[in-house]
Amino acid sequence: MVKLNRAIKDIHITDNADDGKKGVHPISWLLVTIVYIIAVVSFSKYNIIGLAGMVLYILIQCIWYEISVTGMIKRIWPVFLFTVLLGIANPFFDRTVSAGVLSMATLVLKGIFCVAASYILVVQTGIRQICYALHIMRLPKEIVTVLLLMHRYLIVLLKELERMQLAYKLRAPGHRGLHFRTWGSFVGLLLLRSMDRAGEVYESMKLRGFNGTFQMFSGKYSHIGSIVYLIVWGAAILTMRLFPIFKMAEVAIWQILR
Amino acid sequence: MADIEMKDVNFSYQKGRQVLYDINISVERGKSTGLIGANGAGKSTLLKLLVGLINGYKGTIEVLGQPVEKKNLTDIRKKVGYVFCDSESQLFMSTVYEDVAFGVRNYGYSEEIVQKKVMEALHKVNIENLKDRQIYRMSGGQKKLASIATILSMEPEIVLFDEPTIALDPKNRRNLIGVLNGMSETKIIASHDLDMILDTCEETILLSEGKLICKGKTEDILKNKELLEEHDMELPLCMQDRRGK
Repeated sequence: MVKLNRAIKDIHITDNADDGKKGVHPISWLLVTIVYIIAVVSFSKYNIIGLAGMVLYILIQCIWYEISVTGMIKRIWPVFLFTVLLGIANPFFDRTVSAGVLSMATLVLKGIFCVAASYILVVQTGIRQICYALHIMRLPKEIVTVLLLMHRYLIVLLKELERMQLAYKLRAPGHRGLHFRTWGSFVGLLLLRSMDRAGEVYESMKLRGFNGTFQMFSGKYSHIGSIVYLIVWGAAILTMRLFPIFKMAEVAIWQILR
Repeated sequence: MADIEMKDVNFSYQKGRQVLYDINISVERGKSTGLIGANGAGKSTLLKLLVGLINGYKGTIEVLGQPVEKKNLTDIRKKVGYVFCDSESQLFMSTVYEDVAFGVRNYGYSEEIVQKKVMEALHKVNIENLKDRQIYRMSGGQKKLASIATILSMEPEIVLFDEPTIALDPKNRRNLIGVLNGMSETKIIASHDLDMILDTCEETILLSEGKLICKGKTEDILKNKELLEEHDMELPLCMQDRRGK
């Protein structure tokens, strides 16, 4: 129940997290994230030291924009489990066991970094500004509208789920979770109720002039700041991709120590 | 001049289940009209017909001189606001400002005009201080006022209310009545809250099982105990004997 409530809150927070408060245009955020994800994915499966250097982007973003690291870890925890499951067979099927462990660790890191970067993007810009950026990038308006409507529907669905779960728990205080016998009717009813509610929301939108396209508008952004952000981060990510930062740092530290 | 004209309107959702029978109503400009009736009387259906949310009616419906037909719906909806019974359905954006601005933006106004209209609407319902509040953090009363602001920002000529006082505490209800009385637009208020109807409406329409029973001055209808009881309703609380005798 608490988890569900927190999920609804999280989604609301990502509704329009930024709207220009941080001065960076969403298209810069989006492009930097895309460049970062491409860079992360492009590492070979044994280059774990090079890949590890990419954590700097995540850390600097978290420190600079005061994003809670523990909050982020809590939210991307399932991705860790999922990637571990995906790579669990690697030690047995790769060239050697140690190579397999290495490739599994790389896979896990790649998954975590990509999701963490996406998380930072959503938390910093909000879904509406991301869609605005996609709209500027000439993504078909139908796709942008569907993305926004899916986001709306998700909220409606979760709210209905919260109500139904509360009603269930109040009448089944001893149960841990839903009894399997009620799963069918519960899910069916949930879908029907959320569709009804979504229908009402859509009616409300139509009555206020909605014609199938969300009106996109830009917040107040600093153009120079956005360009600087894009160039600096783009260059930094490429540097991290091309040069193994941690390896170089290790060599430098050894030289200093000598 | 009448803002709303309904002549011989019949409506059924599906074959064999008629909801409205031969409705003839005329609502004059600037008037506040109550729409009362027991559950299932057809109040919400009647309101939805006026903005074309449901169609397939027989008869004639004209709103601001335009027949309610598909080709006129954009224009009609621009001039007619509809406040839903459940504010959760009305408010779908993240913050109050964004929600109130949604309709205005859809009509292509510049951001400066959008801001002006939003602030005016919020001022009318006295919630300027909630401008940046996230919807999910608001109380039921605040949500109701925000729902009304979402309509007022579009500067409609007619506003339709479906059960506006439902789930409001006495203070919020009183506040809402003040807001309703302060509005100069033509209003139709569908409600079971007869005390609120008494406080806000000059005229009242009584529906029962889809039929128009009577239309007249609010006081005359709401004082008529036999008429109300005959159609499964009761006198407003302020007119009842509090000792239950």
